[in-house]
Amino acid sequence: MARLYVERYIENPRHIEVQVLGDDTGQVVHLFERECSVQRRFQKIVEESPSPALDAATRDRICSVAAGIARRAGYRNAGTVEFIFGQGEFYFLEMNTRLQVEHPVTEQITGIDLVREQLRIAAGEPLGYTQDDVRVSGHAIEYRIYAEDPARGYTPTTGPVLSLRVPGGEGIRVDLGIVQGQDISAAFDPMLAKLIVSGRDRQQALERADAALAQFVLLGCRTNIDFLRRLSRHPVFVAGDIHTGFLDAHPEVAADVSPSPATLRRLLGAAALQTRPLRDAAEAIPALHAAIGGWRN
Amino acid sequence: MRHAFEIDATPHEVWLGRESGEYILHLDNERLPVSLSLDDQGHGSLRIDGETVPITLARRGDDCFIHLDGSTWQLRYRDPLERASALAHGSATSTAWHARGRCSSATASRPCSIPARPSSSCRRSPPNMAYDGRCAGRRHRSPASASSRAARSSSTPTMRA
Repeated sequence: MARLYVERYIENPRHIEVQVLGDDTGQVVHLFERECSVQRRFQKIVEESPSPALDAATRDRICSVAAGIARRAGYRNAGTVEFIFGQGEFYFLEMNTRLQVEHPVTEQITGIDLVREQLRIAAGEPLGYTQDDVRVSGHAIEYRIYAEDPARGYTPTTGPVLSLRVPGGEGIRVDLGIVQGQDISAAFDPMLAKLIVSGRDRQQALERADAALAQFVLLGCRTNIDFLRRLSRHPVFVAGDIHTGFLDAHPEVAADVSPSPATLRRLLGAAALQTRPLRDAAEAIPALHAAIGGWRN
Repeated sequence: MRHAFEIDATPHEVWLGRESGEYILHLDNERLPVSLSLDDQGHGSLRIDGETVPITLARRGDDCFIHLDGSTWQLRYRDPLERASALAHGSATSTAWHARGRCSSATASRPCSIPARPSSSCRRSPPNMAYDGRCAGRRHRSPASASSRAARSSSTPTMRA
């Protein structure tokens, strides 16, 4: 007799995960879900909360299941229960027993500092609040800023940080791991920073993201900032119709973009003026030759 | 002299002239007054054809990094002599290089000039040596960056021999 394992195929699945907190007393709460479907090379690059895919009933169900898993396991820490979601159903994927890169979006919509909660739990303090006390306000999106070239298979890039200016303002948070003057090398993970934007709803968060990404200046090392801006403006992304194969289905998002005629004129004007001393020196007649006059050997 | 900048491997030719105390950018059939004002961090404004836009700019050797109109661009300055020689002759061979009777080889940090007979071999390897065909066969140049060449131009007359 042969044994056969059959697994249901989920077409264009979403990656949805639920943040949980558990303390020493056995109390577990969830801090709602994060949508992490936009990925490249099986790694998330944009995460948001709430997920645009879930209705209220499904959200309640998936979050309750996640909290139940942690409760049943006697979990004590911050953790994430991950699911595949498709065709209206969700399927358990794995649990990450740690703080995750994308935790700021949960902090932005719940107002709960997850690192602080981890320290309190580790110190043996009770959570001090119940599930009913955890409220969601607004919408948050995180964009991972990587030193990489999206047009060339998201290959990691290196170089010096010649100029760095991060955006600011209402609803803008930047978690930064670099400074101006630093060299970006291949010795470390290419993630340089996280831009987290929040707003009263998804549309406002997207508008703030577009402005913030446009203001994010990092010169000297190629990054994915322009790519993230194109992604954030893509009509399918704006509609929230995303899945884990979104970037493969829309390769135009990662492709190089040529400058518009107006931008090209500006670029060439700035570059010509900026490199003028260089060109003047290149064209200059050396002092010795100037002294010789018109004679040459 | 016309200069060129590459954006994603596409060269764009420009010529920067002066007229009535201001710079004029010549692009194909366009003549655009242009000025650039930057602080010591590379932030400032670009005024071109009467329009002013914010800009951030940084340079590293022949590479010019520009943040403009909400996007970041990298432009590479292409030395006009190298471009001209490449267009005229493509890659020079060591045979052509030696046949001129004199070679000069340089790195960014150590310029040198070495006499060589047509049949002799040069002690220093001249990788990818380019030949400037416009100079009546008297000049051979290494593909050192324009910035290093510019830095040497006033102190290393052998490079112009």
